[in-house]
Amino acid sequence: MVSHDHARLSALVDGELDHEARDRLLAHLAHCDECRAAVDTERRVKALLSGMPEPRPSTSLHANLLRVAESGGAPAQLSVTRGRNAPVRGVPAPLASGPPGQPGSRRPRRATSLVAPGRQRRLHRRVGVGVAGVAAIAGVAFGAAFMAGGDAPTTEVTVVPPVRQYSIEHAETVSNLPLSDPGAVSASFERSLLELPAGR
Amino acid sequence: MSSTPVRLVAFVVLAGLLLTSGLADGALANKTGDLAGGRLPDRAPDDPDQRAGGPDEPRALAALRRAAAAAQDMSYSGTQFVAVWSEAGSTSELVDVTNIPGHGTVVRARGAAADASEAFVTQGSWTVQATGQSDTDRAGAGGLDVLAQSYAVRLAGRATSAGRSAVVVEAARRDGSVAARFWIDEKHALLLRRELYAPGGVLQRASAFVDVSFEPGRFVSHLPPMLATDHGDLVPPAEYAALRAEGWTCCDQVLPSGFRLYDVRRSTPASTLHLSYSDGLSTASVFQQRGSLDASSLDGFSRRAGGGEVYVRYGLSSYAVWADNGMIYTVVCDTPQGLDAVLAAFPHKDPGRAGTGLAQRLDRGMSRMVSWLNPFD
Repeated sequence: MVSHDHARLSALVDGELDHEARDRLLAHLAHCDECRAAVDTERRVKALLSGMPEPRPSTSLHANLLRVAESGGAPAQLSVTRGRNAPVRGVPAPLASGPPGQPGSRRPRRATSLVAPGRQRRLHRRVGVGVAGVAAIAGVAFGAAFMAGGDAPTTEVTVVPPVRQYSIEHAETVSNLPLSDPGAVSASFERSLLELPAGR
Repeated sequence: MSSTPVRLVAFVVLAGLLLTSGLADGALANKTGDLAGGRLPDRAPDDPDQRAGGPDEPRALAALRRAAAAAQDMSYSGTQFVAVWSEAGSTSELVDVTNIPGHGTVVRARGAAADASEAFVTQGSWTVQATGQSDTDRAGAGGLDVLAQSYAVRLAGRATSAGRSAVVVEAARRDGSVAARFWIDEKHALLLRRELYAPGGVLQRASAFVDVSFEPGRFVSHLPPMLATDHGDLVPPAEYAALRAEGWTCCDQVLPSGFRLYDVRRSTPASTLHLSYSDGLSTASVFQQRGSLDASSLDGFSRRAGGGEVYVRYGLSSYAVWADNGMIYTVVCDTPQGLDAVLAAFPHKDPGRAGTGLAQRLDRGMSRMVSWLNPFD
């Protein structure tokens, strides 16, 4: 006989039995009130479930998902809740209203967070990439400036001032001023002063 | 032993005694104090007889004008002692001077080969432009105007110098301190002695005849080469703005130290600009030329302490050479203190882009790159 096998009754309701098994089970239901009542209950529950609307995420869950998307975080790395309280993976955690690790805050301290180290590494990586980029640009700029500034302008001539000539001209001005002494003229005699012409 | 070195030593000793004894004899002996230490006690500013621009200023100025004229008109010869003091040390020299009225003065430094130590300085070869004087104006008139603008002159009594009786004229600063004293021969009006003092009363430059003789109609058989060379073209004040537009540092009429511009000359072609400043006592020449400075060839110069790349040399004339923004400046001045004052009035911080250093090369390269990117350049 067919025993009161509830698993097969559920399979009958779900249409998972082949013809032969289904016929035998229907014959049993014809004289077994208990099994017939179980099948009726199973069918009502199924009909009730099939008539319900599709489940939709809550408003808070939707907002949190949008914030995660805006910050660039990966949802798989966030602690999440299913429904209201149960922690599960795959759903972002509500954002805290207070400082991390403080009473009332739902964000853990950075040191104990499962989230912060990864984010910190990314930040460090980004800073490193930025510094390296700036250094590379500066290096290229300095290198280009070094190459471009290779030769001194040809318009600027290297000059040794003709100091002795200047000394003579100065002596000329002094000696024609009143009440001067001959020291400036005597100083212009000094042979150690340069006599090289300007713009050599 | 030859007699020349002996006489030279005797002159030096005599000149030193004269300079250090100062006004030991004469009416000013009890007023001037210790000249051997180079310091003079300044007179009290509230002394009514010593106020700046006192009642005897016209007579003092007249005495100075007579002295300026006598230096050209009188026939005289003698030996002068010239000394300059500075923090770097002192420099002195004996100079033989022979004046030929209406022509010029033969100046010969002692202790050197004759062909390298004498020159003939012609009279009236320089224009004192600031006062509108021409080459034919009486010598020194313009320069004395500058002196009168900068200092108050006054008679300070009588004294002796080189064994001759002299009238002493002082030039005083606005605070009453003495800036200079002049000993003027009472008989011939020739300037026998001159002393310049720093603001603290320190003697900074002195010159005096150790002997002098007046010989009318003196004949000089051989004149040495003229000192004068090509002065360049005189630049009138109306063209100063154009010089500034061309990049020259030109032409402050009065420097903060009180030096007044009295002459501007430009070489031909216009490669050098020569500015002449004076306060009536000291004179400074500022030369400018374009280019980059080759400081390695500045023999005898030392880098000025704490003053950037400024090279100085002190002596009877003091020199400073530096470069700034493609311009090379050379200053020649009578006193080290005046040199520092003039130097401070001109730009001397930026060595320019023409150097060979790394910073200058990078600066030059950046400038070129910017000019390449600038469509309006």
